Amino acid sequence: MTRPESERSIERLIKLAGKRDMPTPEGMERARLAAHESWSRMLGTMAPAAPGRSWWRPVLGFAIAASVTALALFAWTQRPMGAPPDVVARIATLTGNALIEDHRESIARVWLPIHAGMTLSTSDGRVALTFGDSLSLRIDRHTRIRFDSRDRVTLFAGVLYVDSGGINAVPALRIETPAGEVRHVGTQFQVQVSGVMTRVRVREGRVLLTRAPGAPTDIAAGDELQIAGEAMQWRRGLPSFGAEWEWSAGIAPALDIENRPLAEFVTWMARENGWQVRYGDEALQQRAFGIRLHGSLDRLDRDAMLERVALVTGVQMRARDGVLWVGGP
Amino acid sequence: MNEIDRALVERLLRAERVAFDEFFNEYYPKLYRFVKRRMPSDAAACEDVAQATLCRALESLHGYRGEAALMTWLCTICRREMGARWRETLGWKAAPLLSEDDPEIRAALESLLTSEQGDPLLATSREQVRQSILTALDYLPAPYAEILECKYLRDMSIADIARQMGRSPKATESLLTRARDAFREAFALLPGGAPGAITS
Repeated sequence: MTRPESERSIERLIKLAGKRDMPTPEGMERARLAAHESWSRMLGTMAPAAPGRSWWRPVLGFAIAASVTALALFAWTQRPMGAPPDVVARIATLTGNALIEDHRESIARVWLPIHAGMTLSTSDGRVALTFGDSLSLRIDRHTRIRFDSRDRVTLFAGVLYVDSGGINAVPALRIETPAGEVRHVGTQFQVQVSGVMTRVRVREGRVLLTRAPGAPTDIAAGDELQIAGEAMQWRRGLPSFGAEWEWSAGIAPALDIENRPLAEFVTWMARENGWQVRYGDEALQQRAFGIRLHGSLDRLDRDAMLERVALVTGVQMRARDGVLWVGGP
Repeated sequence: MNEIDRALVERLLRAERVAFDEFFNEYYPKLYRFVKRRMPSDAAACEDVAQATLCRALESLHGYRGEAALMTWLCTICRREMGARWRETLGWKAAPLLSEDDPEIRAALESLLTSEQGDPLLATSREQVRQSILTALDYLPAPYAEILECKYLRDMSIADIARQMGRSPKATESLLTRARDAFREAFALLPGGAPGAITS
């Protein structure tokens, strides 16, 4: 094998293996504290330093003092507190810049808890949050949103995408907009606010828009409507895929594919992008439940994910005109 | 390699905080994966066993003589921890033996494979190949595995890797070459690692 061939071979092997498993951040932190304690104990029980090694004592003293301080700090952070603040969401993924405003301003970062009353503003960034057990909230660039409670947010400006995770998902999220309250009935949808204009696009399921006057407006999958102030301007059909939806798939937390079947990845990919799925043949469709995936899709865009999965499974996948062809034509 | 390991242990015994961080950051994830390859369905238990191994190792650090690689010494302690855990937990099966548990393969991995071995075992599946790749990466010194992942998994340029690792581009190129050679040799020892096994 020549050197370039050998290098390509190594590249293929490492791509095939994917990202190595890592312990959870919580597990790492717990282990670090425990290991540090063991290390300090070992240092504290070692025999006294031999002559000529008297420098050791102050270092050891410092280490013990530091570890005692660390343990005290840990104990302090773990002390019983009053009523914990109401965590309504957590940041799952983030690109670019976003700010959190509470009593003060801070820079948004991944896994940051969002408490009731906080406002999140994006500039050039996009944010995906987990909301409750199954709700995924995606916030586009130049958006400002306040988290009022576990089931209510206020969208001041910008675009918000909601994926409730399934038709029967709870809790129902209510979104306050200038046009009224938008509430989902198990769905994927998007709300855009710009000045007095509110636009709602529904990809799956149903959404209810409650305005001050009159009965709630029912918006079905495939519908888009625009309201200026309280007056409905228009309603029209909208495909479930395409440019209007792409940003929300781009910020979606990557599916953890480790040991998951290919069929699950295909379903997730299709749902995130509003595609239909077509398998090349029935046998492949059945086989897709038995093919297990490994590695990670972190930091890959949509096309790179399809390429990576095709590489490790040998099953070709291609998206065209709203259809994901799996091993197809 | 044992010299480097011995130096790290001496720094730990001198209570160097930086050494503790180096030791923990390198070996805790490796031990976690070592356990996870043997009990893949229980990630939380894998974290517990890896943590217990590190604690036990740090408490008996003066017992490390540098005769074997530090990873090998840690794996020996880890096997004992796993054995104790399995005995305590009803219904757990005995620890499965993996190719890296073979004393000969282990010895060869430890010495980082000064020569290529002939007649490697045959891989029976893509999964086995994948496990062999991950095992090989874990037996490499941390900078080797890191640079291979940066280059081939994250598709980073040499300039970006150099910046991230705090090295010059030339030193980074050189490190990458050494990492590739070490990986090739380590992988060739494991099941599925026959030269050209999955290159076609």
